[in-house]
Amino acid sequence: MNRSSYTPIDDELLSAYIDGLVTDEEKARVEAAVAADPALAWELDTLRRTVELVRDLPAIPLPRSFALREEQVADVLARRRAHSAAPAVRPTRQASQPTGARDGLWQAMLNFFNSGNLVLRNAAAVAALFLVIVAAVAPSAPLATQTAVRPETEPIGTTPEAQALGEEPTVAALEAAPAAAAPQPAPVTEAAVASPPAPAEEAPAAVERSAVMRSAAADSTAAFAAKAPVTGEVESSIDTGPVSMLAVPAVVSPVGEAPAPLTGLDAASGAGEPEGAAEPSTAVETGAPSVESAATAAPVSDESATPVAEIASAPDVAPVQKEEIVAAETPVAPAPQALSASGWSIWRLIQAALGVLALLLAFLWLRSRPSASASGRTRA
Amino acid sequence: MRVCQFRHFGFPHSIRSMAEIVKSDPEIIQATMDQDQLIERSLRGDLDAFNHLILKYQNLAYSVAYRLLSDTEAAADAVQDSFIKAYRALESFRGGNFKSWLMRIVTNTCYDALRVRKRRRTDSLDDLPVEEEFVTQLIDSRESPDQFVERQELNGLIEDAICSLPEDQRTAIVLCDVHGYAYDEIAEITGVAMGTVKSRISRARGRVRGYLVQHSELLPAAFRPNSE
Repeated sequence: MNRSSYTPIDDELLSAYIDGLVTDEEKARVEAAVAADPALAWELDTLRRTVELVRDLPAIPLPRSFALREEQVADVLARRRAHSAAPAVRPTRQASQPTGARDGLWQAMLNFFNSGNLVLRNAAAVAALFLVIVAAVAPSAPLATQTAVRPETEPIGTTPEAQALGEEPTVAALEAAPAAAAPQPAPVTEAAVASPPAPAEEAPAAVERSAVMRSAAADSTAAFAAKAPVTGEVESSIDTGPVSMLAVPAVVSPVGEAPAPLTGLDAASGAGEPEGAAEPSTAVETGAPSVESAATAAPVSDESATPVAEIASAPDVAPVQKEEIVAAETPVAPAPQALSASGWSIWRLIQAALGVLALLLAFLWLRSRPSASASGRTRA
Repeated sequence: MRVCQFRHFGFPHSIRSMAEIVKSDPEIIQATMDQDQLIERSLRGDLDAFNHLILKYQNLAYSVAYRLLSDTEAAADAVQDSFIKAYRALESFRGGNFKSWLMRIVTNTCYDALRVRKRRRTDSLDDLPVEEEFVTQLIDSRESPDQFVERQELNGLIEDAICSLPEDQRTAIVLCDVHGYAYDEIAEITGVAMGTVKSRISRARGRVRGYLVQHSELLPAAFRPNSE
């Protein structure tokens, strides 16, 4: 006897089919295969008959009764009787009542937690534990107003890419800090019109880079003071791509968070940079016409409108920051471990997933517990 | 004793139908509540309450033990030991299916006995005959003597086939097909995963079928291969 070429149909599937434990798809597949192959049909039929024959086996009569005698379990019996008789021996003991109540409550709690599917209970506990651990180790929300710090080791502006993208976000972040510090309603129309001369595709990359750098700014403000983006490149970047440069950091800097980096920058630059105050306005002024001139060059997202206006409204920070960038010659320290907004959201997603999993497992465990009306499947 | 009586003794033909009966039967619900009371009384030192539970499950326990050990005395000893163990460990029962909990003790005790037997090598499982004293009691007045003899031989052949299985497959097919346990209950009793239970049951059935095909002269025509 040769089985047909329908290899996926094996005895395990046929056995499950006989017990009715197959999906609709599997059932259809088996039936189709059986209809097409007489050998397979014979296997299924003989397997079904085998199951029926085994099920029809007679029960084995008892040779004797297996009821326990006291001498077989004397020790356990004595212990249990003594334990159950203890309250009866001292009925006047008032202290036993609250103790008994506590024991009853404790026992009830033990029975509650030890009933049902213990695997589900333990899985729910593990999921909840992981949720607590993830919540404890997850970093805080990314600080959007922290000044972006160049994470690369090379000085700003040394590469064409850096000129095109690196300095722009950095300088823009610096300039955006004071701008964000003084949040004001933005003339959206002007800013919306003002579009960066740089290609539109540079904006997303710049946004991402500025976000990363901004999140690291809090830890590197001191280092930032000593580091030097090149003035010329910054100026040129300001001139060439003011809107994108200025807009990018503002995209990720919510209003109201600016003071911190601004403060840090001021503190870092305050000691030796008294003249820096004039520069931001200059830079901003330099940038403003460029912004306006580039307004019609390329479309700008709505998010860039506000930052442009805010930067224009806070002109006293850019020069200081620009000078610090120029003065810095050594590479900025690498960005700290704080996550960007995307990374932070991933942590939140993990926490949410663990929370849902823990709740689901707890729900399934509670459902698996036996109730007073019925307790699982029992047979006569 | 009629064979048909044993059909009402908890050996359903369909696992599904038994599940539906259990879910809707108020008597079973009441029995479960009574069982919880018996367990509670047993924990307080009432041995009679535990013996009520024994009376309820001893037939099932002995049937499983006998088919695992294929020996009357060994099965009796295993069942008695199992009940003593169950009484001693009653505090560890945390609710749920008491029958599954008890049957797990029975199967584990039988496994221990099989290991001891293998070490001693005093008997061969394949050589143990089916004791006719039990078989002759199962008389159905509707059968002719010839039919009775044929059925006896067929049952003996099936018992031999089951005895030839490995321990794990034998346990699975006895619990599933002989006693009607569901896959999840068998998984709980044997302490393995559901997939393992399904695999063991399918392999056991396949091997029993193969054993029967080899002795097809005692079987209905449907068991004879097409090639013959």
